[in-house]
Amino acid sequence: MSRYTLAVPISVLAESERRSVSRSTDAGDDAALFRRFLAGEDEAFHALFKRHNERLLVYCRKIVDDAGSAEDVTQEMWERVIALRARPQEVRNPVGFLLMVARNLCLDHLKKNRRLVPLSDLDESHHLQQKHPDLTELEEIAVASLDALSFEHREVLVLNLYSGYRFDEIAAMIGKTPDAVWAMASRARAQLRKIVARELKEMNRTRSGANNQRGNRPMEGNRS
Amino acid sequence: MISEHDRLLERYIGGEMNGDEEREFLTLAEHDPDLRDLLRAERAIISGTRKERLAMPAAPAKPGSALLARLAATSAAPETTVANGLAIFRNATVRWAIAAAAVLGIIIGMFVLSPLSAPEPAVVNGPAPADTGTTDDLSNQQPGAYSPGPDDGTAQSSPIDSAGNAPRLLTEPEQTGAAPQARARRQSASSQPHTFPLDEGDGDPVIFDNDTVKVRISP
Repeated sequence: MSRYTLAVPISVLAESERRSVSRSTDAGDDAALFRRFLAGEDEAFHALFKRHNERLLVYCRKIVDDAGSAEDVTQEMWERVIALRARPQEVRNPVGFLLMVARNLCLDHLKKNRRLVPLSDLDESHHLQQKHPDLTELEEIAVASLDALSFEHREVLVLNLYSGYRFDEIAAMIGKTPDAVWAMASRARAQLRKIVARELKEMNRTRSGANNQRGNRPMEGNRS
Repeated sequence: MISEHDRLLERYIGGEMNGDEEREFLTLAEHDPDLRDLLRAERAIISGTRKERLAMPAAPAKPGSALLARLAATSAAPETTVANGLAIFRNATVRWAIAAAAVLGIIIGMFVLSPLSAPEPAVVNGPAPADTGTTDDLSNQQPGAYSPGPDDGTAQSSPIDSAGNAPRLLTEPEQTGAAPQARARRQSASSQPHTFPLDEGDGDPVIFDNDTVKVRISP
C-alpha cells in the first residue's frame, strides 16, 4: 500500500469510491481537459464536471455546513470556470483552481452569513439537534470535532475523508508536496483523536459519576 | 507532535501490522487506558465520517440547465478571429521578440541608408580600359585596360568614348545625391593630370606601358 493512502481507512476509501461518480487518476488528464474546454470543447467541460462536481460539492457542504448554500457555491464555481472561456488565461493546475474558487466562495459565504444570535432568542426548533440520527454519540462528537481543527487541517481531512481525494491529488491541489500533505493529515488526525478521546473521558467520568450516585442511593425496600 | 501511540494507531489503521504486531497492539490497548481511548476515538472518526458521507444526497452527475445555458453562450460566441490572432501578443516572449526585431530593423535601415555607407565611385584617369578583369592576373589583360584594386568595391569597367575622355564614373552617385564630397573629389581629380600614388601603399609595383597602367597587387 502506498504511503499516501495509509491514513485513509480502507473501508472509507471503498465507500467513497463506490459513491464517487468517477475518480480522477491523473492531474495531467485534468489539465488536458481544461485546455480542451478553454479551446471550446463542451465535452471536456462535462468530463471535468463529472470528475469533480460531487467531490467539491461534498467539500463545500462540510465547509459551509449547509447543503443548499453548498450547492449555490458549487454552481457559482462552475459558472466562474465557464466565464474563463471568454477571457482565456493559463491555468496550470485546474483542480487546484477549482478548489481555490470553491474555498474562496465558501469563506465569503461564511463571512456574509456570520450572525451571532443569542440562544435564548431562538425558538426551540432552532436549537441544536442531532444531525445524523444513525450516528452514535461518540461518532457525532468525532464529526463535530472536525470544526475544532484549524482550517488548513480540516480542509485536508475533508478532502481526504469526505471528498475521497488521495494525498498526492490534494498535494497537487494545494501546491504542496505529498509528504507535506501526508504529515499535515497525520497531525490533523492525531489532534482530532485527542479531542475525541478527551470527550470520551469526560463522558465516561460523567457516566461513572451518575452510576456512583445511583449506587450510593439507599434502596427503599432495604429499609426495614 | 505525533506520539508513539499515534504512530502505532496509524500503523494499525493503515493495515501495516502483521498478525503478531496486531495482537500485541490490541493487548497493549486493553491495558493502557489512554491508548484504548485513542483507539475508540479513531474508530469513531472512521465510522462517523463514513456514515455522514453516505448520508449526503448524491450530487447531479451532469450540469444543470443554467450551467448548460452559460456553456452554450460561450460556445456560440467564440472570440473573433482577429481577437484570437491578437491573443498571441499577450505572450511576453512574443512581445519581446517583436520589439527586438523592430530595433534590429531600425539599426539595419539606418546603416543601409546612411551616407557613410554609399559606395565610393571609382575614378579612372588617363586612357580608360577597354576590357575588364581583375588585377590578380595581369597577364590576361589587354594593354590600355585598367582595373581598380580589389578593395575599391566597384570592380566594373566603363566604356571609353572615342575621344578618350576620362575620367568617367563607374557608378552614378549623383542619382542618390548622397555623396557630395565624393562628387567634389571626383571633379577635382578629373581636372588634375594623371597621377598614381606610387610611393604609397604597400609598395606594389606600378608598370607604365605607353598609356597603359598596370598595377600589380600582391595577393
